[in-house]
Order: sequence, then structure tokens, then C-alpha cells
Amino acid sequence: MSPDEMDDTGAPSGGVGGGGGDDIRQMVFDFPARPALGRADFLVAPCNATAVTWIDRWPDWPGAALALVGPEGCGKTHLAHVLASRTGAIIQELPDVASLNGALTDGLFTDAAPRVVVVEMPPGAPMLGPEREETLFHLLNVAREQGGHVLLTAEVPPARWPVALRDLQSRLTAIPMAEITPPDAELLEMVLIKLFADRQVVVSPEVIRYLTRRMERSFAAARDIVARLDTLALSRSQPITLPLARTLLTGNDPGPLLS
Amino acid sequence: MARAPAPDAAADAVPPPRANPDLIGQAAAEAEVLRAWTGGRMSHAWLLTGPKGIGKATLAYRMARFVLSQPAPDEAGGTLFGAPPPPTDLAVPPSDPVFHRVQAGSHGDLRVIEPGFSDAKQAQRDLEAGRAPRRRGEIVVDDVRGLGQFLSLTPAEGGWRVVVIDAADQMNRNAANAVLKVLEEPPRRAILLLVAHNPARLPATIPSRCRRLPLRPLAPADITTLLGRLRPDLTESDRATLAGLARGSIGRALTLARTGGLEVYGELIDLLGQTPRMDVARCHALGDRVARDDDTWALFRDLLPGWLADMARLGATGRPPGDETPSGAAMARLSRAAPLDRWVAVWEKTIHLLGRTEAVHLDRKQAVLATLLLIERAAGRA
Amino acid sequence: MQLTIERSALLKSLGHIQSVVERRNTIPILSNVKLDARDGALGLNATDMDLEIAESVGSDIAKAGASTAPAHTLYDIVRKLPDGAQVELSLDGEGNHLVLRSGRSRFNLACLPVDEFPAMSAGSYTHSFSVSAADLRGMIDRTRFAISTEETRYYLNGIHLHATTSDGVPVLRAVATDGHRLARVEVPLPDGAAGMPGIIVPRKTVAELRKLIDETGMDVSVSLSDSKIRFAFDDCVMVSKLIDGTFPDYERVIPTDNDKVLEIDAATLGKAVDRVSAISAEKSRAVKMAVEKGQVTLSANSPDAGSAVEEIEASYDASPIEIGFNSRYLLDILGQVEGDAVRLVMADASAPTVIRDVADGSAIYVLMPMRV
Repeated sequence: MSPDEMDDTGAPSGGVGGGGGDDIRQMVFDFPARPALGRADFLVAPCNATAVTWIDRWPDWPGAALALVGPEGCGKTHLAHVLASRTGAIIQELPDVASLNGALTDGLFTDAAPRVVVVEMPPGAPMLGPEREETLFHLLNVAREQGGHVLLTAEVPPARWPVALRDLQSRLTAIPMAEITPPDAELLEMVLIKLFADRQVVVSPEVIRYLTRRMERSFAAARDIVARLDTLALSRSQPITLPLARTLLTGNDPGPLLS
Repeated sequence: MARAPAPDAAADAVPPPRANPDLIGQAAAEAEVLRAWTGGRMSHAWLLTGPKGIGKATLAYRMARFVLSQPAPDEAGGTLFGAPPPPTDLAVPPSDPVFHRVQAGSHGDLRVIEPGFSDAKQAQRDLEAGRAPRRRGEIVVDDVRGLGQFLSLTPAEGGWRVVVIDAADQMNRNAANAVLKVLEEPPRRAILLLVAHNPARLPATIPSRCRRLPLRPLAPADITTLLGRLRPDLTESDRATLAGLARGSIGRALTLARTGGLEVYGELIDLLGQTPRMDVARCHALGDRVARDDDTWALFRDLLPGWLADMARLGATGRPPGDETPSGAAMARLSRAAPLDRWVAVWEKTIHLLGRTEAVHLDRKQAVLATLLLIERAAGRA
Repeated sequence: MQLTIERSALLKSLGHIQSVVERRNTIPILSNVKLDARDGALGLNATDMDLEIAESVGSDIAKAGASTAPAHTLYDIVRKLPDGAQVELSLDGEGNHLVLRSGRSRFNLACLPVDEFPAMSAGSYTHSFSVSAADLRGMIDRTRFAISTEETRYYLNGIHLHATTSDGVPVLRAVATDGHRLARVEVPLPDGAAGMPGIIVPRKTVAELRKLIDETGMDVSVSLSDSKIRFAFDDCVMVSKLIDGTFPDYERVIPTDNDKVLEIDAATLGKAVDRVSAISAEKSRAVKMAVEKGQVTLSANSPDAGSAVEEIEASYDASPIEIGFNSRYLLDILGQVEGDAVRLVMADASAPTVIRDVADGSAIYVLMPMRV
């Protein structure tokens, strides 16, 4: 599973404070994690097997568009990158009106250009606005006419997006959906291992088990807890051990670490 | 193959697995590894399973030498002269520098994890004197400690790093956890080879992260061949007897040969052949002999129930003894001397008695005498 | 093998290479030094399988040959021979023993076959360049203090060496960090280094290299690939494995828009920090800097030991700021400053502070504050 959208936030460059019960704390550099986004790095499990199958089956899709829907951190971006590395797809956050229109003018979906466009929606139900709705509608139409494909990734099914444009609304409702559901315990363990590995730290199975038993069963919680534990360990110049995980989750929980 | 370091093992001239260029009877497993390699689907972790003494560690070192002799993955392709031909064999000849360094433990890209020395100071003295130091019965976390550091550095000689764990089922919980850390997120260009006699004793997560490579017990003919090579001093009939007793394990055959197993076996068969009137003095002598050391005791504990089971089976099938050996003759006679159910009862009691003696440290000689007496009585009542 | 060699030359080389040999080895060959006599020189070679040091000493070779002998024992013997002695080395009939003769002394040392000796030098390098020993020393000295000692952060356990550009000028850069502080030093990019892979040189290799190049005035020739690095100078060659990891994207944590600039005499600041930190809690070693126009007030508090305050004159015009630092980290960085003045460029009490030697543009240090 991928630390979806983990590293797309401009320049953090600031530091992150340490955690734990000390009243004086060494803050640490906020080094960005480097998520591994290859196909082999994606952890396939029952909760995402359908989505993976559809990505792997491209261009054998049920229609010109496909929606990839799942909670934060479930691997939507990761799968989008898997698709992109295989097909040369363009990946966009939100429909970027200018660049999409430009690409369409230049003959997107023709043999000379990428035949797939991925549009990644922000968290929650996306508020697009008239201009973006127009562009998205146009994109879906052109893809259908010219035999191209559009992958939409979002946390909310397209049928429930608050869209004003009627034609777009009905088009979105008709898009087949590949859904990723929250992880089961086993997948959650593997997600934690992957997230630690993205930070080049290896932790013992005991720590992983301890965390999965006590954390909320979601991809977002996994990402948060790995970031916090890594920061705490770096701040204290300690390895990530069971006692350290305990410090983080019980007693002296330092709370939000971003200062 | 056989673990070497028992003090008198040198007499066998059996090379330890890391120095053994010969592997017999495991062609299927070798072919599977080679297929995975040439097909570009080499697993990063292999679990080599099967009974003791059939060549698991020997195959692990053979795989290690093979992998360490292969070019780095990104260099394997187009050289000036095109890609090198795909390998057709795992063998690396003993004259190869890689062979020497693997044998000496000095290959910079190989780490071997095995039980550490029971006494570090004594071990240093032993090593200086060229003796094999005593090792602990289990692999503890200290023995695994260097693994992370080893894998955090690039390969020294070529493309790959190899870790041999011999044996994985000797790892205690902390050691297994440390290895699991690596198995769950293996570094690229690293291969772990886990040897396990009893994979059921591993934490379930370990086998689930490995590709299983089951090794089969050796055919008696393979054992005879190997014995001919490793123990040319034995007579042909001794080698045949050992092959029959070895249950597919050359390691077991060699241990039997080394610990006087043939004599104990011969004596036991002689006595059984005397039923229903065994020579009491010889029974006591056998009891003394068996009680004297752990190896012989383990041998007896293993031999007698096995022999009884074979004999009972012979009676049950009613087949004429195809076997001209003294053992075959004794079996034929005894199986006719009492009905099957009585022999089954004797077999059960024997197992119980020997097991109990082992478990609560009863007198071993008494156990030997008691089991012989059981057999004599059963045969005598016919 | 048969040769005669100056005791002092042999001692010097053995001294260089024996430090890499571990005292205790469960693998016998690793306790040995490899001796290779040919072409008018004796090659000596020792390794711990991660790092190899080889030296070549001119000697009078009567018969070429090679063997291995216990490194520490050999070193001990040669060390105890009288100054100015000549040493004769040869192998006995079967080649099982190294015979050392000097004056009226004679030693027999058990040998191990040379083909058991680890081979690190094999393999090819993709990039080669040469750098002055002084530059190399400078890069190591000003970065090594920041290397992480936390073993599980293996990707921080060394110096990151890579080629890049700095303000449009190609440079060879050395970077080290432990997540709390970072040191970055650069020299003009040597010929041949362009396009080299970014690598991480392990801490132990850095330490051994630094010892070896301490006295040399020559250029050091560096060869590397993505899995190995080789340093050659004088008669010495060192080959090392690298750390198999990715160095973090350190550029992202070096702030470029900090605006609170403090300039201060480095020695004065250092001494004051040292004094004030005497009172701070042993574990944290925190000192607080209150910076206002023309002045810095250093202070430390400890619930057990009491408190300390010291004022220092400084050049500062921005709005006042209070910021805490680990005093040891601050002293480490101040210790690298060779000029008179040091410049601290800050943003706020929780953001990274950039520290520079005003007289030295080639090094930059970044320090994360402590909450005080």
C-alpha cells in the first residue's frame, strides 16, 4: 500500500519537535519519506484486489473512465503511478483547466500522446467549480470519442460529488467504480512495515503487532503513527523499539508533533 | 550433510557443508533453484526443509557459492560480447576462489548465522589450536546481531549478498524476530537461505515469508555411494546395513558408523535371534554399552522400536522374508512366534518405556533389559 | 617467498593496516595480514571484510611469493625488534609457517593459505578523480561530527558524497547529519567526478581514512562505483564497502529565507556556551539564547544545579528572538569555525538555524533548536 499523497506538500523544510515526556526536547529535521511506488511495492490484499485487477487490466476497462475510490492513504496515488509507469499516463491533481485544455488541443488520447489521464481529487467530496466541471466533462467526452481512458481517484464516489453541471453529474454517476475498503489487520501490519521501510527504518515484528492492536484501523492512522514514531526515535537518537512505541501510545503521549 | 564438529568426526573425512562440493540425490531441488534463477524469479528467501543429514546445509552453501559467483543483476546483461550464457548448473568447482573463501568463512558477501560458541574464551583457544569449538544448542539474538550491519552495506565482491541460517529452527524467539525484520523488508540484491529440520518449530510468519524448498530423504543407493566415498574403510555389507538403517539420511548413516552403531545393531540382532532364550550376560553387556553414552542410547531408542515395527509389519502381511540377513531371519522367526496383536502391544510398551526413561531420566540399562525381557516373554509364550 | 626489509618501514606499514584487524575473530583468516612479495616490494593487506587497507613497502625480494600470518602477533614482534634492524621473512618448506629472522631472533608464525583471504579489490569503478589530501581532510573534519551514531539509522551512519552544483558552480559535496544537525562542505568538482553516483561512506571507513591521510601532502586518487570506494595515495590503498541506503533529501531542510542574522565572535560565544552549559541538566545540555539588538544573553537552568546567565556583545538588528540549542551541538559547530566571526541565521524558536563561518563559504551547518 502506498503512502498516498504523502510527499506532495510543497516545502516542509521546517523542523519537527520530538515527543515523549521530556520537558526539553530536541527538534529534528523533517526529512521527507520516499515512498516506493513500483508495482512490486504495492501490497495486494482482499480489500484492494479488485482495484489492482482493474489497473493491471488496462486497457481492458468497462468504459472510457474508471473511478478508484478509497480512504486516505489506501494506495490510490500508488496505483495511479503504477498505471502511469506502464502507460505513460499524465497524472493531475484536480483537473487543471489550462493544461488539460492545452493537452486536448494538442491531441490527447491520440497514438502519439498518452492514452490515459489520471485525475486525482482532493480529500473529501471535491468542490470543482464551473470551469473545472466544464473541463472534466469535456475530458470524459473526448476520451470516449477518441478511445482514451480517464482514471479518477477520490475518497468519495463520483456519483456523490457535489457537481452543478447536469450532464457531468449523470456522466459521473455512470462511471464504474473500483473501491478500496479499510485494511484488515494483516494488511495493516504490512502497510506499517512498508511505511517504515519508506523511511529506511526496520522495526521488529513485536512493534508492528503492538501498533496494529492499538491503533485505529485505517491507512491514514498508519501513516500518522509511523511518522510520529520515526520522529520521536530520531529526536531521542534511539532505535524504534517496543518501549518507545509504548511511550508514544500511552502515558506521555506528546500529542501533535508538528510545532 | 553431516555436521562435522563432533570431536572425532575428523576421522570420517566428511567435509562440513561449507566445504562440501558434492551433493547427491537432490537434483530436483537444485533444478528448482536454477529455474528460479534463470527465469529471473529468484526468491529473496528460501526455506530448505527435510530431515537431518540429507544435504540441506550442503545445498544452502552450494546455492550461496552459486549466487556469489554470478554477476550483479544490472551487469548481467549486454557486455561487449553479449549476455553471458545462462548457468546450467549450481556447482562451483572447489578450485574456484569463491569456494575457498566460502569454506574459510572469509567471503565478504556471505554471512552465516549458526549457534554461537558456548564459551567464548575456550572457543578462542580451540580455534587457535585448530579444534572445532563447542556451540550452544540454540541461536540467540547475539548470533544474529551483525546481520543488520552486514545488509546495510553494499556487496564487497560482486552483485549479491547471501545469508545462510543453519539451522533456522534453532533460533530462539528474539533471534527469530530479528531475522523476521529482515525477511519482511528484504534489501535488494540479498538472498537468505534458511535451513530447517523441523519447520513446524518456526514462528509461522517465517515460512510465510520464504519460498519452501523441500529436500527428500536419499535413496539407499545414494547412501551406499556416499558411504563408499566417505567411509571407504567400511565393508560392503556394513555399508549396506547402514544404508538400510539410515532412513534416507547420510548424516544418520555416518553417525551410526562413527558411534559404533553397527556393533550395537549387530549385537541387538544377535540377541533377538536367540529368542526365546537370550544370553543374559550379553543382555547386560548390551545394557551397559547403551547406557554409557548419549549417542548409543539415542541409537538404541531409535533402533529397537523401528525394528519391532518392521517385524510386526512382516507378520501382518505374511510375506516370506525376502531378506537373507540375520536381521531378516530374526524377524521372520519372531513374527511367527507370537500373534500380531501381541507384537503391537510389545511395540507400544517398548516405546512408552524408552520414552519415559528418556523423559524422567530413569536407569537406561534397566530400560534396555526390560525391553529385551518383554520381547523374550512375548516370543516365549507362543 | 623470501625477502629482506627495514624494520622501521615494515613497522610503519603494519601499524597502518593492523588497526583494521579485529582483536577477536572467530574466522581465523581474518586475524591475518596478507603478505605478497613481488617486483621489489612487499604488499601488506588487512581487512575486516567491510574495509581493506593495503600498503606496499620497498624491500629486497629474493624469491617472490605470498602468504598470510597473524597481524597483531607480527606487529608486536616487529615493534619489539631493535631500531634499525633488518628483517628477513621467508616461508618454511611446506609453506605452513612464516619464518621471521632478525639479528639473533627467529620466529615461526603459523600461516593460512592466501586463497582464503577475502578479496575486496575485485570489481570495477565507474568514476575516478583526484582530490588534494588537504581538501579531503577538510571535508571529513568539518562533517564527521554530525554523523549519526544511532545504528538503526544506517543511512545516516556515514558521510554522503556527491557531485552537484552550488550557485551554478560544479562542486563535490560532503554531507552528514544525525537528524538534529547537519554539516555540508564542498570543494570545486574535480575532473572525472561529474556524474558520479551519490554514495554514503561508512563512519568506520571515514575514521580509518582520516588517520591514514593525516600526514600525506599528496593528492588522493579516489575511484568509486555505486557499491565501493577506493582511496589511493602514497603507497597505500584503501577499499571500502558503502552504506546501501538513500541519503535523505537534505536540501529541503536547509532554510533559504531565514531573516534574523546574528554575527558574533566565535571563540567568545564558544567559551560562554561552555561555561553556561556547566549548569544545564546533564542529559539535555540545553542553553537558551536570548538575542536582541547588539547583545546575546545565554542562560541555562537545572532543577538540581541552579542557573547561569552570561551576556555577550554581538551584531544583531532584527526583532528579538529566544531560541534553545543543545550546547554540545553548538560547540561542535563552533569548533569547526576557523575565522573570527560566526554567523547564525535564524527564523524562529522551532525552525532550523543556519550557521556559517564568516570567513569560509565552503561549509554550512544547520542546527535544529531545542524546546526550552
